[in-house]
Amino acid sequence: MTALPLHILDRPLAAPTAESAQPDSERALVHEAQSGSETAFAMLVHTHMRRAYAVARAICATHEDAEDAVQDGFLHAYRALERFRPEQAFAAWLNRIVANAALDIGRRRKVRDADSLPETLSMPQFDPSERSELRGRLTVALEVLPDRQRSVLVLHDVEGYTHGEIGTMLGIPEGTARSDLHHARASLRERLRDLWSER
Amino acid sequence: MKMEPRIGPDGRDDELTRALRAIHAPPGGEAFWEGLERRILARVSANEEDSWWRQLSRWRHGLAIAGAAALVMAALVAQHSNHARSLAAYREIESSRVAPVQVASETEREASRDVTLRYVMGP
Repeated sequence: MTALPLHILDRPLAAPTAESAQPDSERALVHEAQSGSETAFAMLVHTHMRRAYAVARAICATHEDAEDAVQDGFLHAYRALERFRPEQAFAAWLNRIVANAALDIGRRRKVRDADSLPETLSMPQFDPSERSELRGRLTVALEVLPDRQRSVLVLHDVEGYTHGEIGTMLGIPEGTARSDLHHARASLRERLRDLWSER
Repeated sequence: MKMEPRIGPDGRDDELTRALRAIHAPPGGEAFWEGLERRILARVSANEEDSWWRQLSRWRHGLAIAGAAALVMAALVAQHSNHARSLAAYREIESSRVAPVQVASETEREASRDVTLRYVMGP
């Protein structure tokens, strides 16, 4: 048996998130938003929505669900703004809320799927614009991964979050995040093995 | 199958990561972000209009000032009406300085007594 040529990132390509660093300008914005300024909150939305979407997309199975989760997350954050403490990192606080919204949507979807016809279950959603076989195979491989493992894999390998940050976002211990990542990689490696060995 | 991921010196699999990133990329480029931002803000605004307690919270300073002003006004009105009442009572007393009936009758009685006394004492 040859060594598997597939090695998912041991280290993330994306730059690590500097969520602990909170510039004074952002602190001031958060303070203004807490005082009721909609303009300040709009600026916070503008600054953080891309990262929030990435977090939601890592957790949700579809783009539409991720979009809903981002909207829910920002709405929850707005409602909870008065409880935000200035010593916290706003991005980390927001991402946790968005991650919770995404997990909620995932749970609701599972309930809905359980009620729907069996034929519609586990049908891979192929993007018509799929250009590469790798991407198509990867999409299928990701779909069969347990939700949490998929989330951890994407948050770590694509978005560059640390195990600790992922654990905080998903509400799991850091060690569990580490172990999920290991299993997710192993599963993908196994499922994509023939892709690399057909050569 | 011709594809094989490039494996970097540190074991990274850039191609697989690119594919993962492509799968999770948002559709529509910049227009998507603009639309998402609008939708988020619209939902927050709708929530803002719905929640009366937030409206109340926003107007609490104004309401407090209005309440204080109303209290001051009420106190002034009460003071004014009290003063007016006192003034009316004073004027009523002032206007009825004419001798009361009893005093008047007493005076008549004294006068008649004086007449009787003069008659008796007179020559």
